[in-house]
Amino acid sequence: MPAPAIEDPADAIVRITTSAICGTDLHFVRGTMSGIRPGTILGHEAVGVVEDTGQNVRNFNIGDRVVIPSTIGCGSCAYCRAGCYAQCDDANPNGRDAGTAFYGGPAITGPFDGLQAEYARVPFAHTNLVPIPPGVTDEQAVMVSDIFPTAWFGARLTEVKDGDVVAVFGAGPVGQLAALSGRMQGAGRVLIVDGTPTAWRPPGCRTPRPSTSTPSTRSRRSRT
Amino acid sequence: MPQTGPAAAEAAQLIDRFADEQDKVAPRIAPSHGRWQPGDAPSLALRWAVQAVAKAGTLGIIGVYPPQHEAFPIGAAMNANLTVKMGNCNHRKHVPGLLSEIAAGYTDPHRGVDATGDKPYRASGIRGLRPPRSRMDEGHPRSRLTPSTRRRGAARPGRYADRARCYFR
Repeated sequence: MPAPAIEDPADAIVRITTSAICGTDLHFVRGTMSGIRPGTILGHEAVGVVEDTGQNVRNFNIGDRVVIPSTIGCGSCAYCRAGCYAQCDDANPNGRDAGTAFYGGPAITGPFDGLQAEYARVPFAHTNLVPIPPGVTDEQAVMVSDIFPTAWFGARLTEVKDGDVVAVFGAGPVGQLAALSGRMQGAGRVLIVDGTPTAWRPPGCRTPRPSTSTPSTRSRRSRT
Repeated sequence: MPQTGPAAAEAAQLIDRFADEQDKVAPRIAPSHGRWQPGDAPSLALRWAVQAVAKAGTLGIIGVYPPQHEAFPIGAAMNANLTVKMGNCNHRKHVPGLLSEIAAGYTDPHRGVDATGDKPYRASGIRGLRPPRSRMDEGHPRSRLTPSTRRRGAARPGRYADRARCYFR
């Protein structure tokens, strides 16, 4: 594929140093989510080094080590300024009601060429790049590109407060980090549910003996 | 869909419904040699979650859902006075805070994630490369963060710093 070039003064070109595969990418590859425009480069989790910037990107220099957040916002619309970057009015060329813009997705998300490549064009780069602080490795930072914020946000959605009991359904990478996030956000007990017998066991967790009850047979009052 | 266990019988009663959901969500599939099989129970986790959460509790739904996915047990959720919150993640909102917490040693995404067998978390591909040593580990020379041991210029502790240090213990 040809290397991307600056198309807008607010673009940046990032040389990708570490990129990751998400479960969502598998949906695109195997056809269980439709609407991919053929030829779109996949991938929405990466860290890299800034190679080139448009003139409106005044907060990054060539050579800066950056994380690329998976979802794309413009930084200046009301939704972005409220922190709701997933509902940005301007980033998605399909319009303000078309939903979240992100890299390497179906046509309705842009489409924007993705990050499983050597170089990527980052639109609204003044907003959509975050510098990596010293002491954070590429391997740690690539987790912060997509799945750690996703898991953290998932835990925030549950309104978990100190001492709460939280259950996570699914012990994949997002579920594992959601359990970690729940704990960090104050949960007193975190229960993780997964159907895979070899599912990950975090250090210090207790695996209960099998129960005969199901969620619908247990009374909501008597939770044991 | 579970094949064994206490919930298998209940889930089996919904086979037809799940088949309809699968047709809507994944209309064109091409499984090959046992791979690329789509999930066979698109709304099962949602149903279990609505059943499992305490009444008047809060359910958080995260992930990527196509617009064709229209199955949710709204009646059961209403009748338990649930708060249901969902959405696509606003990544940019959370990235700086999480990077700061990692930089200060208060958390480590690799410590929370199993790296055995799943090569993507060993991005370097170097066998035997251990994950970075985290402040959470006992015996880490800086496991107790005091003003004298905090690196000059390190990010200030996040809001959850005091809890983050004892997760999973």
